[in-house]
Amino acid sequence: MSLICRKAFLLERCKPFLQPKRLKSKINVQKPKAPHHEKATFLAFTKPIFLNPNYEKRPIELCTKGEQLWKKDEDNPFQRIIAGELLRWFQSSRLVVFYHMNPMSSDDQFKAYALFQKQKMHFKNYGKETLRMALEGTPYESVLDFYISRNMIVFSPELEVKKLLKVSKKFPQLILLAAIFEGKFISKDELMEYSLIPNLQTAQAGLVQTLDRVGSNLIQNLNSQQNILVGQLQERAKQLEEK
Amino acid sequence: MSIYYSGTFKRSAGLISAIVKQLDLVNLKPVKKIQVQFDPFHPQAETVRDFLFHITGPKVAATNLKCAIKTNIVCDRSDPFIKVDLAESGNSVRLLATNLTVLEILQQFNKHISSLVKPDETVGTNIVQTKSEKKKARRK
Repeated sequence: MSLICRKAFLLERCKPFLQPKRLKSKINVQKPKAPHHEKATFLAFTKPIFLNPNYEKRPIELCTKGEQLWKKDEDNPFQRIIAGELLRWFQSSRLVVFYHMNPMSSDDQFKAYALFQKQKMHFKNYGKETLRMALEGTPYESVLDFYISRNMIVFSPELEVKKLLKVSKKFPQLILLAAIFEGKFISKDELMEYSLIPNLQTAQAGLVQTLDRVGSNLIQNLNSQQNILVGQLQERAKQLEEK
Repeated sequence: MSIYYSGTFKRSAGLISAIVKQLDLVNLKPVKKIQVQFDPFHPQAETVRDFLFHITGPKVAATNLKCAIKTNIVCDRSDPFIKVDLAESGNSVRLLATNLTVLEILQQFNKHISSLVKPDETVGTNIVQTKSEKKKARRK
C-alpha cells in the first residue's frame, strides 16, 4: 500500500507556484525612484573606483599617431584552404576568363552568378592576397600582374566560349580582359577568334569539302563544254517542238 | 599648460576622401562619349581601370544618362588613355594616363570638363526641399 502511494507520488509532476512581480506592461526605467537613505549609503560605499590609466603619463606616451589598430594576419588557415581550392579550380577548368568589374549591384552579381551556373561555370571574385597564395610558384603566376582594381573570374570545365560570351554580353559592367584557354594565355581578340571556330564535326565537314573541291572543280572544267552543248541542243529541241 | 583642442573634429580617410571629393564635383553633362582604352598587361593600367570603376558608378552616371562609356581592350602594350568627346563644341579631350594617378585624372577632368557646365544647370538639379520649407512655401 505504501509502495503504491510512493510510486504514485513519484509519478506526480511538481508544479511550482508562480506569482508575476511586474504587473504593468510598461516598465519604469527613465525615472527611477530615489533609494532609501540606508540603501543610498550602501550604494555610495560600494561604488567602484576606476583609476585613470592615463593619470601620470606624458603627452608623448598618449600620442596615437602611427599606431596600428589591427595586426596583419601572418598565417590565416582559412585563407590557405580557399587558396588551395582556387588552385584546384585553375587546374581543373579548361577555360578561365578574367573580367574587369565596374560597379555592379549585388542583385546583378547574383543574376550573373545564376546565369553562369546554368552553363556549369563558376563566377567568383577572389582577393589579391588569396590569389597570390594560390598561384605563386605555379605556371599561372602572370595572372597576378593584371589582377588589379576590381576583378571577376569565371572558371569553365568545358570549352564553351560562345555560351560564355552570350552570358557576359548581358552584363555590360563586366569587361573581358584575357583568358586561359587549355592552359594557354590568350588575349581578348584571340578569344573572339576562338569563339568563331565551329564545333569539331562542322570543322571536319568543312575540311572534307575543301579537299573535294579540287576534284570536283577539275570534273566541272572537263565537262563544261559538253554540258553547254547538251543544253543548247535541248533548247533547240524545245523550239522545234513548239513550232 | 594644456592648450585647447584645435583642428578638425572629423579626420579624412586619406586619398580616398580626396578622390570622393573630386567625384562629387564630376559632371558629365557636357560629355557625349567617353572612350577608355587600355592594355590589361600594361604596367600602368591600374589608374585607368580605377578611373573607369569610379566613372561608371551610379552617382556619376546619374549626372548624364545619355553619356556613353566605351571600353577598348587592346593587347599591343600601348599606353592607356581616356578620350572624352564633348557634346556642344564637338571637340574631344584626351587624357594620357600613363604617368597620372586617379586623383590627378579626376582633378584634370573637373578642371577642363566639369567646369564647362553652366552654374544654373547644377543649381537646378541639387535643390532638395525639406518638409518645413515646403510648409512655409505653402503658407506664403
